[in-house]
Formats: sequence, C-alpha cells, structure tokens
Amino acid sequence: MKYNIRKNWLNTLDTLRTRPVILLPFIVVAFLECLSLEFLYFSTRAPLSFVANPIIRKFFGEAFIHYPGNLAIVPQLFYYKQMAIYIILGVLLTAISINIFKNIKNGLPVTARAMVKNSLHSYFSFLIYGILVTVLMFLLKTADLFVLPKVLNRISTYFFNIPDSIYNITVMLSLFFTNMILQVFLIATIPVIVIEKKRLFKALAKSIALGARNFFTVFALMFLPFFIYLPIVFLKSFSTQLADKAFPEINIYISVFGSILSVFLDSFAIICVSQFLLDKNKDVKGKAA
Amino acid sequence: MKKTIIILISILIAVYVILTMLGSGGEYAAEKLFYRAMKTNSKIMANPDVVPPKLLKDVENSLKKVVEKYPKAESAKAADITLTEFYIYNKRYDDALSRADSIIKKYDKNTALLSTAHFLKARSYEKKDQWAKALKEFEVLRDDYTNTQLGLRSPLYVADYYSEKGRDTDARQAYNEAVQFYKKIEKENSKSMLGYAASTLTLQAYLNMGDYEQAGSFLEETVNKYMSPMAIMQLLPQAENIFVIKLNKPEKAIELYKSIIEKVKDGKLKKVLQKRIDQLSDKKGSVSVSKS
Repeated sequence: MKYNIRKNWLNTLDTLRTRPVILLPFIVVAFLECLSLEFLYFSTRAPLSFVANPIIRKFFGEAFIHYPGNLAIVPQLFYYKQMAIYIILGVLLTAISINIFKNIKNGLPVTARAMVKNSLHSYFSFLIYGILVTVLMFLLKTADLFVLPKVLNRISTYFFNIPDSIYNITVMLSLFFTNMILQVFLIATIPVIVIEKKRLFKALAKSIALGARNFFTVFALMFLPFFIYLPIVFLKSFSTQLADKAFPEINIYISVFGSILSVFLDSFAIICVSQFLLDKNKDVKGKAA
Repeated sequence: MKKTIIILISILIAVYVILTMLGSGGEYAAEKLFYRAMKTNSKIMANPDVVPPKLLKDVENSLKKVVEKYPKAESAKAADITLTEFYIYNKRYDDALSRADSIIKKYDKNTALLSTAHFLKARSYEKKDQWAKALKEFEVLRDDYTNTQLGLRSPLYVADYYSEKGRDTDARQAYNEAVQFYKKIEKENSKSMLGYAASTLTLQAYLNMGDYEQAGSFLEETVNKYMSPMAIMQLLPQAENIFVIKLNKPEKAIELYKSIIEKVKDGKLKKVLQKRIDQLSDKKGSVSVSKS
C-alpha cells in the first residue's frame, strides 16, 4: 500500500504545534551550538585570546588571529564543534525528543526526569552511533571530493568547459545529496532504539533495511526539511566569497540562523521518520492480527 | 517550556555582553576599523574617477581614528602608512609629507616602518617634481636602510626613474652605480639572504640597462654561488629571458641547465631542467635542419 507522505507531514506539524515540548531537546542543541559559536566569535579577543591565540597561530597561522581572518575560520571550527556536540549530546537529546513523542502518541505522561533517565540507559549506543555517523559522513565527503573533481575535470577536458561557479555548486549539491542518501539508511536507528527498545546494531540493521525497502518514501519524508535547509548549506559553502562581498560577520549570522532553523527541521525530520516507523509497526501488527 | 527558552536566551545574551565588554577596545577594535577603511579604500582605488568626496573623507577619518584612538595597536602603524599612501594617491603631497615625517618621529626604532616612511616621502617629492629632494630620501634609504627591501631597491629605483624620463646618460650612470653598490653589498654579505637579494638586483640592473651579455655571465655566477632549488627556480625565468629570448643563445641555457643538473640533488628540479633541455635541443635541431 502506498504510504501517505502528505498525511505524515501534516500529522507531524500538528504534533509539533500542539506539543512543542518535543522541540525542547533540539532547542538545547541549538543553545549549545550558539554558545559555542559565541566562544568561537570572541576567541581572538581578551580574555579568551590568551588560550585560543596560541592554538590558532599554531594550526592556522598568524593571519587568523586578526580581524577579519579570525572570522574566516569560524565556519570550519564551528562545524567541528557541531560534530562534537552532536556526538556527545545531540544524539542523546534526539532520543529524548523521540521518547517524548512516543509517550505523547501512547497517551503516557511526559516527565522530564523519566525521559532523560530512559535515554541515558542507552547513552553508550547513542555515542557509538554519533561517532559512526560522523565517520561515515567524513568518509563519504572525502570520497566525493576525490571522485567528483576528477569527473568534472574530465567533462571540462572532453566535452565543455564548466565555469567555477557551476563547479562549486555541483560539488556542494553532490555532498548535500550524498549526505541525504546516507541519512535515508541511518535516520531510523535512534527511533528504533527508543520505540522498539532494540540494541544499537540491531537498530542499525533495521534502519538500513527500512531505508532500502522504502527508499523513496524515507527520501521523500526527509526531502522537505533538507530542501528548506539547502539555502543555508549553499551560503555556508560560499562563506569566503560572501564575507568578501558583504561583511565578514555575515557567516556568523548564517550559522546562528542555521542552528535556529535546525531546531525545527531536525525535529520535523526525526518525528516524520518516527511517525513512519510507528505506522509501519501498526501495519505489521494489523496484518499479523 | 517558555521559561526554559527565556533562560537559555538570557544566558546567550549575558555571555555575549560579558565577552563584548571584556574584549572591547584595543587591538581587535583597531583591526576592525582599519579593515573597514581599507575595504572602502580598495573600492575607491578600483574606480577613482567617480569617487564621491564624502567617501574620501570617510576613509581619511577612519584611518585617522585608528591612529589617534588606538596609538599602541599594530593596526595604527599600518593605518599611518596607508594614510600617507592615501594622500599621495589623492595628490595631497604636503599632507603625505607631514604624515611621513610624523611616522619617522613616532616610530624611530622600527626599521621597516621608517624605510617605508622615507620611501613615501621620496615618492611625494617625486610626484611634486622636486627630484633633488626625492633623491636625498633615496640616498637615506640606500645608506641607512640597506637591510630593508625598499632600501636595497632604491638605487635601482633611481636609475629606472632616469630611464623612464629619457635621461639616458643619467640612467646609464645610475645603473652603473647601482651595479657597483649591489656588488659591494653582495661581497660583504656573500651566501646570505641579503647577498642573494643584492645579486638578483644586480642582474635586474644589467637587464634594465639592456646589457644582456653582462646579465648572462652574472646570472651564471649567481646560479653557481646560490645553488639552492628555491634560488634556481626563481632564476630560471631570467635564464630563459636572457639566453633564449634576448641573446638568442639557447645553447648557453642548455649548458647552464646541464651544470645545474650535475650539482643539485632535487629530483623534481632535475626533471624540469631535463625537460627544458630536451625542448631547447629539439628546437635547435629543427632550426638547423630548416637552415640546411
């Protein structure tokens, strides 16, 4: 039977609107990201500069402890910090959000302490999952950046010249869709751990199987939030040119806006997939009955 | 939930305010102001014919503000120099001269800044058609700031000035004096960075006066003396220019490249040189065949 994606989206939006507490863990992630961004932004000024400047000088060079060079490295450093936040706390907070959603769906009470306690039981699994996703994303990015320029160079040599701007956009879109395809197979892992109480590797296997069997459905479910976030990815990949054309602080504003937008988009994507998982389970139970 | 969000936002605002207050003023604020002035200045430089006077005033005021408000900041030094250049560019030579004088007084121990200030003074006099005064500044640069890039280049600059003005006798004399000066510096600082820099300027002086035979033999001497891959990579375009283009003696270039291959250990450099030898040999061969 064909899955109704529109209905899933509308249900998810309705749930998020009526029970905004589901957003709270994602708001905490956005808060941590913004806080780390503030520290990065002020890192080359007193008093943080006493600690940060020697490190920046060693790894990036003298130019990057002065304005506007200091702002040029912020997007890159912020990306690393986002990764760290995601691994250490992001996955756990996502699990808490799914737990809240599950309890709301099952008509159970939503108690903060119980939610945190429940999720903390599987913290180690979440940590491993976070590392795994980060490593996979890194490997895919490296492979993409290794293969794609070669393909584009061949096209430029044998067929037609690809302008720099098109080249950069192609690389950016390729990385974006690679990440999206990876997510199709992995995104259901945390919902499976939380909703079905499965162990990490069994949940991972189920998520991959779910993604493989329902590739287009999961892809379509995630398409809307990913598509809305695409302009941010686009702006971030042209951060140097943007800072040069506008003003150096623009990348900080983009990062802040991206973090705030992620609160809604990440929660929407994960709840959509959790809803899909619940619907699938209901179908299986219905057929079995 | 609303309470939690308000608390989180308050924390972010508090951290922002505290860090802003702790980091306000000083070097960072000076750098920011200087960057903004420089950005506007580069816009002016890109299209100088249609600059509104207000924009010029803004740049001048911003640069002055950096100098006056943050006198101890590193950016203040750069702003002082930029302001002098700004005056020269806008044909305000008297302002440029007084700014350069104030730099000389203010930073009496900073050789790099002092040499730049003397150079800008010389440029201002040159633009004002007061060459005698400019020449004095170039002499100060040559004698007191020999170790700086501008000081070392000043004899060549003077000779090039005469050459551009069509004063051929003065130019030849100035080039010869420059060559003597650079050779002396090279001798005193042999096998050092300064010695190498003096050698390349000697070569440039020979080239600028059109004495390619002398330039060729001096190039060979320099290559043999400063046999490092980096120096050779820098000198290769000169070798091509002198032996292949100006003198039309590719065999001399081949000879030089062969001697380098024998002496250096760098595999990549050897490969580059061998490739060039092959190309030059092929060219030479095809020319001989077509002649016969």
